[in-house]
Amino acid sequence: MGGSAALIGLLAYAGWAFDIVFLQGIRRDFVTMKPNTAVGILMLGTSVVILGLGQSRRFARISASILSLLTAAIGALSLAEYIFAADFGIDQLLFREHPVAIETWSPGRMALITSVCFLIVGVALHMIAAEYRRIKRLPDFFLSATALIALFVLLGYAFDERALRNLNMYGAMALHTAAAFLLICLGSFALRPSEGIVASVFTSAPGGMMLRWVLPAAVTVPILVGWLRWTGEKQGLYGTGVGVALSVVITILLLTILVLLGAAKINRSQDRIDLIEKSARENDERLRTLLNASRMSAYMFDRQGRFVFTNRHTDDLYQSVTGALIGKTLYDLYPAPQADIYHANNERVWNSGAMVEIEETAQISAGTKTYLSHKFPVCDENGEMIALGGISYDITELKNAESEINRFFQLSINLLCIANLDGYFVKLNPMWEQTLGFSNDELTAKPFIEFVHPEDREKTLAEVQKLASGVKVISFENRYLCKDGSYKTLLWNSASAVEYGLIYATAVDITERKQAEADILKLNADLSRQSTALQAANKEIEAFSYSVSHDLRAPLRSIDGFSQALLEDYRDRLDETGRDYLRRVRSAAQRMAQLIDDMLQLSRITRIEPNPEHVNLSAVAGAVIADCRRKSPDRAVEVTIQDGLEVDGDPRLLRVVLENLLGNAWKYTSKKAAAHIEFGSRTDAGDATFFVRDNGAGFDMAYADKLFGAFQRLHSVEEFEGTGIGLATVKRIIHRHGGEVWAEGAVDAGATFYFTLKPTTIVGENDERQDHSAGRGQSGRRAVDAACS
Amino acid sequence: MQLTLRALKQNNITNEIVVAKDGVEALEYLFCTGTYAGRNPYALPQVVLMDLKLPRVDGLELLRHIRADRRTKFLPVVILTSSKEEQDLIGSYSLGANSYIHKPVDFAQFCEAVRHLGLYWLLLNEVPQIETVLS
Repeated sequence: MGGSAALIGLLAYAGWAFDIVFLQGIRRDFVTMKPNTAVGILMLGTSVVILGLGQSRRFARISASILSLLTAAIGALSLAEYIFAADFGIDQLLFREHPVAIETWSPGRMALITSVCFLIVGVALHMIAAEYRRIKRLPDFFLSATALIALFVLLGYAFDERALRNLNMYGAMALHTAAAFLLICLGSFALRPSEGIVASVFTSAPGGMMLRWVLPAAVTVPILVGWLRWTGEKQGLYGTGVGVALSVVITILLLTILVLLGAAKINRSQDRIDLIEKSARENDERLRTLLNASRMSAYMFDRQGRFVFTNRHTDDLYQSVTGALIGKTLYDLYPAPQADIYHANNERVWNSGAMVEIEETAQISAGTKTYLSHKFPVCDENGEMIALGGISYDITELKNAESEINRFFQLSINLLCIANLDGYFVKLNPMWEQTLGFSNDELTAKPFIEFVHPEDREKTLAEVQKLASGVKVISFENRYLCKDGSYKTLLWNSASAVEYGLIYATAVDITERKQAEADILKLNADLSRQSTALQAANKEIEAFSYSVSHDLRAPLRSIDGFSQALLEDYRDRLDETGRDYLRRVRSAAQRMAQLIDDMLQLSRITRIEPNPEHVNLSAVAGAVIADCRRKSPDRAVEVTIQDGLEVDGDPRLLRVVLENLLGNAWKYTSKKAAAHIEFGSRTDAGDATFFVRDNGAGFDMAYADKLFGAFQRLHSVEEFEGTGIGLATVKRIIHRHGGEVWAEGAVDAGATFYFTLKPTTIVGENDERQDHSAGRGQSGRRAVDAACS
Repeated sequence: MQLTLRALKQNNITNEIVVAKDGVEALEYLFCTGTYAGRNPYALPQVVLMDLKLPRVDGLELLRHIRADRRTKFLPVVILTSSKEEQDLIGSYSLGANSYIHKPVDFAQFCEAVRHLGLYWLLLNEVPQIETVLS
């Protein structure tokens, strides 16, 4: 439209340039388009074309703006000539017009109304080009006014009514000027389809529809009817009165029909809209119900990060009433550092335009929650992202359970693993690395069978086969290679999930236990071997003792008896020397009998099972001393016995102890004039130590360690009789009671024998065997040697 | 054995003494079998002195036979042996020995023991009559 207007201006200008009357004024009796007008029309048309082509470009806007301002200036100057009745010389500037040009105020000067139109259209276009946002309505107003004026002028030409063309006495607007203005105005309206009047025309709303339907008719019907009436009257078909009545009736009729049709159309479209709206509302309600029922949190943010939608779960999370969150941002709900994180996540979606799946933790009133969030763009029909949608699913419990299971897995001191049925470890807990020394990667890189001891592979594969068929494996043992080349014995319990092709297994390192078991087995074997040997030795000793009892003593008795018989029956045939020899034979035989008796006692002590009882040692000592006094009634020995010495022990054995110790004291004081023997106790470190002290022959401390050995004597038989077994017997009995025995003394200064007894316990026979078996074996053999020699 | 006889003689014990050289002979004598087949089975000794270590049938076995027979059930049996072993003492008494005497090596002591033995078992001790026992 701008183009055609510009063309009209250009043609008119050409008419002036080449003096073509048609181009100047269409008809001779029509007023001409002045040269200035032609230039103005050209510029306005160009301006509209420029804006239409490139309204968004800065250069186009500026040039259009300048052109329209120039046009406005031309209009303003011409207007000023009329107002101030002056001639600025601009009218004849380009071309000179005939001085008596029709319907012209001054030759070459555009009509007053034309100058006004230039002014306001120029201003209006400038405003459009410069995009004045404040006064959007003004250009519409200016353009509408100009369009109306142009329409008026055009009607004047149509009805051949001068008064219409010549709106005032200051000249008339040319026909093509009016047409050009109309085109320019329409073109200018079209520049802004979304604003002002045009917007209401082109909107899809019912109003726009009505407008589009009725407006063309409202313009054309009166024109047509008016023209018909005018033509009819001119032809004399009817008079003015009839003409008016006819035209009014026809106009009313046509417009009413049009309006009715339009209304019907609008109603139909409204029904459709209602239907669409209803279904949209229902849809919306359904979706809302779904979202509200969901246990997931659903929400939408606008570009500024404000909530535009929240479902009920989201509202509940923030303990908010329905809709109260709308308009709030995350910064209203969380401290800034936390909100920053969520904001950053949201920005990723805004920037990428793609969905983001992300785990988010939130500190809300219900505690720390972990969410799996899907955030996605919400787009309009043009694909522009207009909002950000999000759905967050509370996976806190899942995470907690997961982390608990994970913790259990990590911390377990059992070896835990998941393996697949293809024979590879899939997951191992850290205990594996700790036990075998191989890293997780090393263990998962090869089939696990390669870590199994070659001898155990076959049975291991058999167990895996069982697992593959879904059978559980309990308490299976095999050996696994360690990084240092050694093997660890593992005890397995495994189950499989055949449908997943996985084996779940726990193992315990029982290497040490196995070793201990092996050690114990070996020990037991050793022990039983020893025990058998011991039993055999004991049997031998028993047999030996029995034999000694009978067989060794019988010949002695014969020696003694027949020596005596010789002495009695052949006394007169023997001289004194012979008799002395026989007495010596008897004495030796008796001594040997004594030795045998003592030896048998010593061996018997070993075999007797101690039978602990409460024993009054003082009483026992008294009885022993009484015995001694009975045997040697001629001796005067001062004996002191401490009262109330009570112990737990075997009464028979303890009596043997005191018989030996007190008997020795009795014996070794025999050469003292004032013999003294004392039995008492003292307390050392809480344990009672008993002692037997005498003032007899004593002994050299250098030989103290020999005192308690069997057949060890510090005195000759001539000095003091004895076999050297008494103290060995004492030592054995004391040891069997868990005590100790030792002696102090000096030659001719007496001796003191000390002994202790474990207060309540008596060492059992087994302990004794273990502790002294070797020694006893030896002493037993020594005893045999001694007995034989 | 000779020494025992000597000791008995020295102690003026003049009762009839029958000596069996081993366990088998003792059994034959007491139960009138073998070499003693014609002996009067009711003529029992006043006391039996026996060692435990005897050839062929040993002392304890002999004692068991004596105590097992109705006739000799109450026959006084004195064990006179070298052994002082507890197991011998217990074995003897469990099988019904009336006395257990350990023979000392010293002949003088032995003589003393035999004197007491004779005094007690031959003069003081009383046993039921065999007819009474059997009826």
